[in-house]
Amino acid sequence: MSATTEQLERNFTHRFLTSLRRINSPDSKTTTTHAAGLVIRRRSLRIKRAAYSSMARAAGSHRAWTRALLSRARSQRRRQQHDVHPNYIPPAQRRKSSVKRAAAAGREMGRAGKLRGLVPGGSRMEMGQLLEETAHYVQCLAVQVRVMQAVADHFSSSSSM
Amino acid sequence: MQPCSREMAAGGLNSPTTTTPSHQFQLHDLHQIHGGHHTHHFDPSSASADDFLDQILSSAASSPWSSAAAADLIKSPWADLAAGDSTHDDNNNGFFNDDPAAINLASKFRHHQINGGATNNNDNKMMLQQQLLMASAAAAAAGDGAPLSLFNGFGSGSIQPQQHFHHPATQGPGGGAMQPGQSFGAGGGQSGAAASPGKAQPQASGSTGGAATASQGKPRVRARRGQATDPHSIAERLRRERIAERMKSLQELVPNANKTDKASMLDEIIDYVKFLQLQVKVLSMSRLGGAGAIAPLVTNDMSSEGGGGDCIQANGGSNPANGGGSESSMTMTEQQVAKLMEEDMGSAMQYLQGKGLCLMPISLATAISTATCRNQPSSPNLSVLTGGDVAVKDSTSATKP
Repeated sequence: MSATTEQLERNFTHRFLTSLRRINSPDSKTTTTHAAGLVIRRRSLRIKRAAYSSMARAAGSHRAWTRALLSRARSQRRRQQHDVHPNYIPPAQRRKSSVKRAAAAGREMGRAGKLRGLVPGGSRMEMGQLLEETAHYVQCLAVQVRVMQAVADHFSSSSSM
Repeated sequence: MQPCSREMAAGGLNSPTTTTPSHQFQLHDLHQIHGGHHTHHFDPSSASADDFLDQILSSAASSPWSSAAAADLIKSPWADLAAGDSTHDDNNNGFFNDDPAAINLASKFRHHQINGGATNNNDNKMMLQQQLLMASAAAAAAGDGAPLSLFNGFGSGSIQPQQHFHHPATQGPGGGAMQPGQSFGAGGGQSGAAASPGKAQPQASGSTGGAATASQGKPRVRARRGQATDPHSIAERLRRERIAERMKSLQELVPNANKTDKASMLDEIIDYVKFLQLQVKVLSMSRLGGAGAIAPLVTNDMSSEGGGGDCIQANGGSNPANGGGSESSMTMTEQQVAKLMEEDMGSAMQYLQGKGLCLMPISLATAISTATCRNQPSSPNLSVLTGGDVAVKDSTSATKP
């Protein structure tokens, strides 16, 4: 494992654990009255979002996909804070560029379009940059999965059933 | 094995028909050398015989237009890593669920399960499987259990081949700088190569370069004469070279990278990205640790970072495996385990592992206890509960796997 990967891993682990602690400790946001199943699902969504955000921050903002991911997270959080369903896109925004971009990404010859849909910010890049960003994204995803797995194992072995 | 690979190499090289004989010979030579490399590395991987065949066939087929030397060198250490255990696959068969997409991803990346570094992968895989079963029951995402548990060692293994990648990366720009000059020189002479598809015959038009170009050749499209000086085609060619370079680097990151076709390589990349994102989703569902469980972990990190900060008090539930506890608690545990074992073995194992305990035959337990008692003056934390011919032993006394 190269030095940068180790540094990335440490950075991501630190951020991720910090955000996990914030999620787990009871605060005003989490003490809402919901069904148990919904609480679990909501919590897992928060964890997933926290994982992606911490990875994007750890990877640094010189990558296009990290910037795109963080801006997407920021707009999602803003929408959530206004007590709107997070998947709901305000009509003004929906009319303009996002539909066009999504359609363009889907219209493009199958595979490249799919890849653009997977990599954050991929619809804005051209092919060469897309491949480069994909390589870095895959690398970071692998680190993320490895760290999350280690944390999960730690929890499963240290928590009582 | 070696003659077999050579024949395949010869067969693969004969298919592109318009290569000059000198080129064929050189590529054949190179491939013979690396056929030898391949066999040395592939012999241990007896479990994945079809992978072995796949890689031989693909390396034979890809030699004409991919970097034979560099690619094969890269593939052989990767095959080494990929030779790791497929023995875990059998465990996972029982956990297949009904999500077809996830199962497809699972079966695709199955062969490349790699035991990277972490020595406790076995336990983790079992644990995570069962954990995921529980989590999936709770979250109604039944299909995610199987793929995740199959690929635990995946991420750690996939990072390694990057080191090998750097060699062709440094070669690549050097080769690329060389090529335009040669194609300009060779541009005036040849007209026969116009009929052949550019991608398949990168070395044909550059035959003046000889062995050097063959060894550093990448899937590069050659400009024909007359168009060589056209700025658009130069830019186009540079762009294609860039894309080919990036595809190569991606090939190292993504497993199953023996695809020769750019389209199928893209498919592979897409599937791999989807698979990793699926893993993240499943892992986030399984991380249902309580508040207290995080505190020890975070404070450790904080202190190592120099933070110190405020500590959340760990509640008692986060540390049950502390010295085996009293007799009564162990008896309770034993009864609980026995009850669980009647219903479902998986949940029983999960319960045990959640407590930091493991199940083993009594003979082994006594052997370990006598060994450790002999070595250490103080007896380790061993509480042996007899239940037939198995014993429940505190895992803290054994060395961590």
